Amino acid sequence: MRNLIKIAVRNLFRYNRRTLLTSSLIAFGVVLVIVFGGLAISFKTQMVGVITNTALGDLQIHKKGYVESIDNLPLNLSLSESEYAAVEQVLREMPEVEAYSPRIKFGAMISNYAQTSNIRLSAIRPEMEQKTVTDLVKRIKNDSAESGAFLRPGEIVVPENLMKGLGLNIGDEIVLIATNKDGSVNGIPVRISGVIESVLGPMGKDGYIHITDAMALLRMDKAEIIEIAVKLKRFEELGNVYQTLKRSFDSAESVAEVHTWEELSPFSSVARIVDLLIIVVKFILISIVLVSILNIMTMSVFERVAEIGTIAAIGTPPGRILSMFLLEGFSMGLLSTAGGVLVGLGIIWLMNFTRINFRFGPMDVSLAPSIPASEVIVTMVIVMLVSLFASFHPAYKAARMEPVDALGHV
Amino acid sequence: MSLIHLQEVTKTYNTAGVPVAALKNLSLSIERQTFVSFIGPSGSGKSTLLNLIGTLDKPTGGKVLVDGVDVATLNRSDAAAFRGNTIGFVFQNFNLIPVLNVYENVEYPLLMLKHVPVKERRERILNLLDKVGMLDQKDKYPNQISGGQKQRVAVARALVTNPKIVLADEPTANLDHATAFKVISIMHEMQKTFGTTFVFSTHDPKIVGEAELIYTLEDGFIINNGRKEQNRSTR
Ligand SMILES: Nc1ncnc2c1ncn2[C@@H]1O[C@H](COP(=O)(O)OP(=O)(O)O)[C@@H](O)[C@H]1O
Ligand SMILES: [Mg+2]
Repeated sequence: MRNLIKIAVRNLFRYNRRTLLTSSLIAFGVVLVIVFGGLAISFKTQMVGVITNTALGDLQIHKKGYVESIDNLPLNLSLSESEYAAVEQVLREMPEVEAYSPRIKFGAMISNYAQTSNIRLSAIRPEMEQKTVTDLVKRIKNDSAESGAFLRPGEIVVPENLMKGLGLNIGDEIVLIATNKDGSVNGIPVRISGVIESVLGPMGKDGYIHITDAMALLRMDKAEIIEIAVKLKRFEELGNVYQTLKRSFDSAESVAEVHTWEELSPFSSVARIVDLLIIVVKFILISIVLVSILNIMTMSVFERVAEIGTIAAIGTPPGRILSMFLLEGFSMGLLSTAGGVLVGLGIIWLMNFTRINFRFGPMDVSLAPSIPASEVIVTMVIVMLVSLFASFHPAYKAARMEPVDALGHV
Repeated sequence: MSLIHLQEVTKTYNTAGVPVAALKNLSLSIERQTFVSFIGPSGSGKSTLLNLIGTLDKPTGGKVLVDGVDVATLNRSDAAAFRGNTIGFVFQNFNLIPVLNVYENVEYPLLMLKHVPVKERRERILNLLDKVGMLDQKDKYPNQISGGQKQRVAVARALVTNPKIVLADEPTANLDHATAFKVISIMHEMQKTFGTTFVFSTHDPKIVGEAELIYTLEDGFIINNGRKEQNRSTR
């Protein structure tokens, strides 16, 4: 085996320039996959992070049928006190759950006594909300410097665009007017305690008030929870937890439904496109490897016909000739990927110094690309398997040559 | 039984539908430990004959027995293994493996044989390189040595597996006369040292002098064979 490898590698470097050229081409493909993959994956991760950590949470639980009519923010599709308690019970028993936050979501009017506008409100318990969507506070410009209490009863956090639109300032008194589920209209005064910058997604324009204020405004005796946002300890558990919750809510007596952030955010389709692009780039790599290895190995075989005849004549069995050429193609793939991986990781490392800053919709993105080791390994394995595959036909031709004919060939 | 036995062998090639008879009903026996030469003009069938003996090709008719084995019964893999064990080859164009140095070229056929211990391999290779006078060049690559030197390495490579037969098809055709003569005498010396049967072909009457037995081929027939002395007297 060692000798076979020696012969294969020496044969590769026999035609230095050609080998180098092909090798660079494959390495280029590998660099493409790694750099593009690194950028795309970190872009996706960052976006998903923003969405799940500032607004949606990883999962959300609603009354059955709520998400279907989410655009109307229906107040009648809420979880009663006992239904909420049942869901809470389930969440508390799940070790994967880090935190959860109950919300009442509804549409209201906001008025500064001169002008009036619409606003979507999330009524929350600040301490629970903060544990569930941990980055939310980072997006809020607050007048109360103390941390932990970005919102108190009697206060409202207003989205940036509304602040501008209505000419509001922090500290202003405004009135919220809303219709409750029975159709009666009510209003309460609140003080603007903070501004929230907009975040991508349907919740980007939400204002925040305390849940007790919402109960007063909507004349609820007991909190009627519309939505429970859930944060997991490990994001990777999302699939499992989702399935477990889904199963436990599937029973007839349960009134809840569960959705992942993907089902709730339009960004999930962007994320899917990113995944698709990564696959496309991998296919480009596969084609590059396939064509260049097939080409170089076919050339190798046809240039060395007399040599193949010689080794066959002096007792090399066909199987061994096959492996010699397979090994040559494989080594080519291996050396090229090794080079490509080094350069690719080098580029990613450099990019981490310079950082790539751009705006995506309302979000400032600062990419520090990184690529998971698994992606690198998968790429290497792909190249090596494709190299073997592409070498097979030329290698088989070499093994099938009749020594007399091959020897007579000059 | 003779080491090599040909019985009414014919070999016909089909070139674009036209049959060309390269060997015509040829019978002959070659005994162990002999130094045999086939001489004949180009196209007389020398290569065809040596290819049949070398199990590189199969006869159209008749039987070719080499060391008791009917070559027609061997499949590709068996034939390769048989050659690896029983036959050594020396080629007209030297056919050394360009990516291997002199030592590694001689070592190559041994890599196919599993039963030779590493230490013995090394001894055999060095011994043979010494005997053909190439020991001091053992680290050179084929493109760094002359034609005569290449052919000496090829002789060492042919002998390294201790084969019963070494076949050399026009081994001197690409060498000048003095070098050719030297290569043939090295082959003869090896034949005497190892008792290997050497069969070589040539179209050059001047270099057959060393052979013990000379067959003259013409047009696929053996027109003359015999001891050197007889052969000389007929000229
Ligand atoms: N592969 C082949 N296909 C067709 N004809 C061949 C082939 N090899 C040899 N011949 C023919 O067979 C005859 C003997 O050739 P060969 O054995 O090569 O002679 P020599 O080696 O003595 O020059 C020649 O007429 C040659 O043209
Ligand atoms: Mg010939």
